[in-house]
Amino acid sequence: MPSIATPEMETKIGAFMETPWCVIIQNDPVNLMSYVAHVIRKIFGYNKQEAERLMMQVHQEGRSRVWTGAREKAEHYVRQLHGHQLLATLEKSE
Amino acid sequence: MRLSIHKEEALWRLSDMEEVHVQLLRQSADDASSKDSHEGPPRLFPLPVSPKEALREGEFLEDWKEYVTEELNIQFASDVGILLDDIDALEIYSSEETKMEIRYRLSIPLDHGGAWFSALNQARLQLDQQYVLHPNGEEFEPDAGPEFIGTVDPGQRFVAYLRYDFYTNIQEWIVRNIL
Repeated sequence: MPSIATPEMETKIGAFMETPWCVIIQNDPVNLMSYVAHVIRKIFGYNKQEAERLMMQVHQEGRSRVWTGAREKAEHYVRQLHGHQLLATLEKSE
Repeated sequence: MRLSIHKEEALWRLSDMEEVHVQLLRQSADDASSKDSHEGPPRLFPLPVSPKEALREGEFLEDWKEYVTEELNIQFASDVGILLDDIDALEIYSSEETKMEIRYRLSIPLDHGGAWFSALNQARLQLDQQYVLHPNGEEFEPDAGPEFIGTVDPGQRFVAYLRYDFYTNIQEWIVRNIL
């Protein structure tokens, strides 16, 4: 029996499948490592261990994906990170 | 040349300062607000998307510049203003401990710690850009001798590095003890 998707169902599936966005922190040589970890904890509410892991990833790999989700919230987080003078961008999640 | 920094109940104190320390602190406001560097302002207000995405995000970037960059500009200037106001409340003293030589002391409310960190960070970011303190990602080596990078004067670069280092020390203390 052939299945026929109704427009309503397609919309729901489309919204569900929408590509998430992620927040990337880029390494920079000026910001103190302890400060970067502090800011990650403060903004995203991660525990100390996770914040330090992400900070080390920024330091060693040049960037770290610190959060993934809806675009609007990603923009909000990037604004907060810029307010703390960290280099951050939002990107479509792959 | 010794400076003490410690935390009390509702404030933190910079004491045992000599004239040079006070000058350096005042200089940090000028460094943070430097208009000499072309690279500094873009570093303080970076793009929220990668350069390759910028073309596709034109409208978003225009809004960002109009609202977010403007907001951050005000926020950063306010942080520098708080630092300057605190410096204006400088106390001068002398004691037997200082062999009656004049010393300076600042008493700063704990909740100004974030603004101080921000102002000193702005200063370091601007100095880094203006005087190329991390050439090729490596930290500037003050003992390596004079090195010309572009039009940057090696003498001025060395002095900029000393200021950068002084600000770093205070920031490290703020992160550990206040933030």
